[in-house]
Amino acid sequence: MSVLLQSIDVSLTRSERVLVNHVSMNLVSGELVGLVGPNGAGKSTLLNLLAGLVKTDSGAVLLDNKDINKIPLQQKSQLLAWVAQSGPVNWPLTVERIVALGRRPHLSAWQRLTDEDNAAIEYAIAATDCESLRHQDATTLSGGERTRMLLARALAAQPKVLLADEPIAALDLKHQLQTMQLLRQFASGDNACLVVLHDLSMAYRFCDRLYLINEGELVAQGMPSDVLSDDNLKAVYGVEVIKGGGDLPYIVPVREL
Amino acid sequence: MTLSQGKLCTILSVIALLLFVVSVSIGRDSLPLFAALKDTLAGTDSVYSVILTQIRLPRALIALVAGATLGLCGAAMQGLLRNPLASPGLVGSASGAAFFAVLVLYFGSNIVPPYVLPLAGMFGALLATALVYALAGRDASVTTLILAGVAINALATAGMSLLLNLAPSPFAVRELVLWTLGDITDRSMSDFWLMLPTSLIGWAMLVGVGGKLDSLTLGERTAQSMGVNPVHLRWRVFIAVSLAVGAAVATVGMIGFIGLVVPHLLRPYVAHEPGRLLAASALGGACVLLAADIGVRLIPTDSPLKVGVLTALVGAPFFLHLIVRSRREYL
Repeated sequence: MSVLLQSIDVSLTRSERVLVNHVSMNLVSGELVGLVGPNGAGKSTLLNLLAGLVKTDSGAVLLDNKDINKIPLQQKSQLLAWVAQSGPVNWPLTVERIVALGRRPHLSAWQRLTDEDNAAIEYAIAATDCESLRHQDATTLSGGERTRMLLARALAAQPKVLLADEPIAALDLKHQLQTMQLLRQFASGDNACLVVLHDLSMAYRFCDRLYLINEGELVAQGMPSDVLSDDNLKAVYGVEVIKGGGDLPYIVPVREL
Repeated sequence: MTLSQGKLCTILSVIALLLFVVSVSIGRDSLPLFAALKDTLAGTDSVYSVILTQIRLPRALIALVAGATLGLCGAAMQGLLRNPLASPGLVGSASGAAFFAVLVLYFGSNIVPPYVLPLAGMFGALLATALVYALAGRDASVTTLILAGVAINALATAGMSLLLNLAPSPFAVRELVLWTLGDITDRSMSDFWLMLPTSLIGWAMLVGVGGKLDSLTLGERTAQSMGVNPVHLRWRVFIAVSLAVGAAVATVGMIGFIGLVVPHLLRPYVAHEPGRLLAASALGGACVLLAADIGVRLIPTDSPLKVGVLTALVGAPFFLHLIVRSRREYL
């Protein structure tokens, strides 16, 4: 058990709007952690900060106990993978080649794919159920298929930390379940995963811990049962919910308050 | 349709070599290649060896280097901007080079030594690049860079128009206009040696960007998360293209559409991978410019046809075809 990624009191202001306000959080090896909150709460921005893609105004992000902005880019990209919410695919490469791009952090400019690289690519394709898509033009995929391919690209990099921005938002029920199980499986041993989710039932069911944010501020953190309390949901989402299920928890919104 | 990188580059190299030999052999006077080569190697100053080393060889070499530059830079710009309609002319250095070359022509091409023209062109290319840098700022987005390039283009074009407007005689106007059309006739080996170093620096800067352009396929943010520094990459490609294209334009004038069309034609053969496209497109560009320069010698016209006119005549309809097709794709 070691802290892989943490933010210490990070803030970000853009165009006089406070997007992230003094947030401290951490990700420990073996954990699947969910980041939840309403639209515009700053989830994606916070994920960008944690991935070191955007520099914080104040505070620090530590990856493996080192300032993320001081780690050489290539080394950082071997440790941490980030999956965009609906990332673009600009050229009609095959799905297989897109997934293979995930190995770039491990290769120098001229290096060819080794057996080890190919094994990682094959694993990623199989794990995300992309086998049937592998020779397809990546620009013709549906939203859900593309999300799976981009997740496969990230998995092929074999990172220790995976940051995924709403990976199940565009998926059908079966692939939602499959993806959550995959993330659960990934986040074991030395690895950890932070995932932005809108589906609170999935967050409740699969995540070890949750962070609830609203208007750029951390509202609650801890066990799903504590974070997703009636009071918190009322305060942050402004809705009344029914909860239940025991081992298979579900949260259904009933009406606006 | 995809070929292995080695196979494709070999095929293109062979075509380029054949075109190079053809380019050296044909012209106003026929040239027995073997005799000319024998004389040249033996050091005899025969008519053949003079035609070979002072007329044909510089022409073919310049076509080779300028064509390769245009193809390579077109592929690099399209990869960087992730847009098949991007061309090397967007960076502003081409028109900067053209403006300064025209400036030299205007103020007396007959009083300055011949190497001043390409040198001024290269200076213009560098100045245009520096201006774009100053305008756009260090952390400029791709859009800002392009807008700065377009602004510099407009400024250089305005300057050229002014020179044409003020030209003392119709003959001067004709000379200026013809120069900008793009032409490889009457070039010497010293022109070639002048363009070579800057071209090579530009090419060398693009060595190793292939993988980064591949990563860029998934967008700037994702590429950044995969270890690419987008700001570094942007400037690296931008400066490399400015240097190489500046050198080419300073030597041969404006030759359009090669940088646009060649990458596009070759893309299917490299499985649309922007990294693999670079080398293939450089070789393809060399082939096309060599072929076009052979074409202008074969097509009989009253006044000699300029190679830039031929590439534009063939390239523009192709460009239109691309726009129509991409419009259909985005429907």
